[in-house]
Amino acid sequence: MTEAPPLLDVEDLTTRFYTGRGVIGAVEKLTFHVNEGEAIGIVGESGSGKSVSALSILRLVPMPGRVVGGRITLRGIDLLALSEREMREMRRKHIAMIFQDPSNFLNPIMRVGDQIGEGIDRRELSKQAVARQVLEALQAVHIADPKRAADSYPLQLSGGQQQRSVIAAALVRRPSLIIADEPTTALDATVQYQILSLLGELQTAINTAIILISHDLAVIASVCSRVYVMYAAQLVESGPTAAVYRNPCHPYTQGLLGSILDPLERKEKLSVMAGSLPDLAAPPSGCRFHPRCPQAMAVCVAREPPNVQVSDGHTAKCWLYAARGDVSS
Amino acid sequence: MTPILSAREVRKHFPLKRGFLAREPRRYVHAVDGVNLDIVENETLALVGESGSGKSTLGQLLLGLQEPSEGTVMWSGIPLASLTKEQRHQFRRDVQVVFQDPYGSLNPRMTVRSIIGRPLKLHRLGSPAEIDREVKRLLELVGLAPASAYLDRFPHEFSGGQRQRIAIGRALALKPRVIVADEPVSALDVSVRAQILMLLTTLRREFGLSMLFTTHDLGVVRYIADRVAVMYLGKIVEIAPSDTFFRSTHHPYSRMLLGSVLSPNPDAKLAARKFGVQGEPPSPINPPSGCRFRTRCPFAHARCETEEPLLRRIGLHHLSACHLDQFES
Repeated sequence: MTEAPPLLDVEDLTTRFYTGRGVIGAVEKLTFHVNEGEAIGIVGESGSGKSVSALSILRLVPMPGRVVGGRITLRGIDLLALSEREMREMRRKHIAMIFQDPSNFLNPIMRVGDQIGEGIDRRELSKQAVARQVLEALQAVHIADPKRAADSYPLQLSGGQQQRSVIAAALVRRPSLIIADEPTTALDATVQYQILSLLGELQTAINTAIILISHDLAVIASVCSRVYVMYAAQLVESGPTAAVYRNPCHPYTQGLLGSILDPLERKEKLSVMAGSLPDLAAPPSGCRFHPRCPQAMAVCVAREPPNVQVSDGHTAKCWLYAARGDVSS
Repeated sequence: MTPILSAREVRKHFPLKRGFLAREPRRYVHAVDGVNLDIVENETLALVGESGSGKSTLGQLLLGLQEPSEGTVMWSGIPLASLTKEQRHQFRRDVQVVFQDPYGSLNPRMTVRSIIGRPLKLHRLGSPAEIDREVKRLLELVGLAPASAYLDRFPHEFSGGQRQRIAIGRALALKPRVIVADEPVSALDVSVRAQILMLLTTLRREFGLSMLFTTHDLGVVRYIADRVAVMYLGKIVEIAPSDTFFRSTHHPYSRMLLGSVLSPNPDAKLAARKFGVQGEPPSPINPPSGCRFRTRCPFAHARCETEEPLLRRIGLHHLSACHLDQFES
C-alpha cells in the first residue's frame, strides 16, 4: 500500500514477567507497524497482552516485567536502545498515552489547565501564550466551557470531561503517535461515542497516528483502518478492519465477532466460545487457542501455526490456511 | 395477574453532606424520582440507563435493600413495609440478586460450598447432607462440573466468569421467582459475557424465572429482554416491549442511546449517523426544570422547559414521556 517507511515498527516484541509463580510471557513475538497518520487497533480480551504491548513501546512495563526481545523503532530510532533520559524526551514530545481511567492520570491537586500546560514547550513562550494554547486545546476537544475547565481541579469535572482533558494534554504536544488504552471503557455509551468521534477527528486534524487498544471490536472498527487481534500474548490475525470483519479467518476472531451483541440486529442464538483464557505461565502446546477451538486438528496440538497470508495485507496464524496460502514466517 | 414486584410512585433521595457550619439548606440527590414499574411472572425486564440514571438504586429498592423516601414497593401486591415476619421470610426467598462485580460479591474467606450452601442453611432447607447434595446440583446447573472439583475452593481461585456462575448458583439456591441482576455481565470479557448470557437465558426458560436486568448495553437488552424501560436522571422516560422498542424507538433520549451504539460492521461509520449525540447528563442534584432531557434534546422547545412530560401511552404497551407526542397524535 504505502511505500513510505512506517512511523512505528515493532518486530518480534517479547515481554515477560518474572514472578514467584514462574515466568509469564505477556507478549510473545509481536510484530506490527503503524504508518504516519494511520489509526490501528489492537483487540483482545483481558490477559491477551494488548496493554503490556503498549507499555512496552513506552518502556513503562512495571516490575517484575521486562522487554526481553525484539525491536521497536519510531521513525528509525531504536526505542529500546535509548537512555532513560532520551526515552523521557521521546514520551514527552512524540508519543502520548491515554489510559482507561482519566482520574488516575490527572493529578488531583493541580488545576487541569496547569496540567495541560506542562506538556507545552514554554522556553520561548509567554505565560499568556501558554494559557492561550491550553484554552485552544480544550476547545479542540469540545469542552463546553474551556475557561472554567482549565481552572477546575479534576474532581470537579465529569468522567467524560476528564478524559477530554487528558486528550487535550496529549494534543498540545502535537505527538506523532497517540496510544489509547481502552480510552472509553469507563465511560457511558453516549460519552464513549463522543470521545471516539473526537479521536477520529483529531487524527485527521493534526495527522497523528493512533494505536487504539480495546476489548471491543466495535470500538476499533469505528476509528481504525487496520486491526490486530491478540490472543494469549500472541497475534492471531491482522488486516484491514473491513476485511477482518467481513471475512474473519482465525476461529478466535470468528468467535469474538459471533459473541458481539448488536442491538441493530436481533440474534436468536448467540455463538459462544467455550472455556476461558489459558494460564500464561503454562500456555497450551502448539496453537494456544486449540483447547477452545471448534476446528482444532492434531497438528494444532503439536505445532505452533505459522502466519498465513489469506489476502492482501490480511494474515491469520492458523493451520487451517497453511496449505493454501504462502507462509510468511 | 398480580405482578411479583411493583413500584408505585417510588422516590429515593439521598441527602448530601454539608460542610461544617454550613448555612445553606440541605441538598438532595434525587436518585429515583417517581417511578412506576411492574415485573410480572415469566418476564425479563431490562432497565437501561447511563451512570447516575438511578437504575441500580431502583433495583435496590425493589430488593428491599433500600427503603424508598416516598411511595411503595410491593411484593405480590403487599407493600414491603407491612410484610409480616413469615411473609418477609418468603419475600427473601422469592427475590434474589446477582451483582455486577463478582469479585466484591463473594466472601473471599468462604469456600464455594459454604457460599452456595449458606442461603439454604439460613432458611433451614434440609439436613447438612441434603444441603451438600443441593449445592453440588446447583454448581453443575451453572456449568461448574464436576462439582467435586470446585466445592472446596475459594473465590480467588476462579476467573470472573466462573465467579459470576457461583453468584448465579447462590441466587438460584432458594428457588426464587425473580432475580434482580445489576449489570451482571458488564465486568466480563466479551466471550465470557456471551457464556453467562446464555446461561441466564437457559435458566430463565427452565425455571420460569422473572428477571430485572439492569444494563447500559443495548446489545445485551436486545438479546435478553422481553420488555425495556429506559431511565434518565431518576425517571423512566420510555417503556415498551423489546421488539416494539427497537422497531419504533420513541423518546429522543432512547434514540440518542441507540444512535451511540457502535457496530463492528465497517459499513456503519460513526460520521454517517443521522442522530448526533450531544452533551453529558446533568447532575442529579439540580436536574433541569420541566423535561430533564431538554438540555441535550435536539427537539427541545419552550414547553419542555416549563412543563414536565408525563409517561403517556403511545401504542399498545408502549409508553413514552415526551411533549413531542402531542404533535404527532
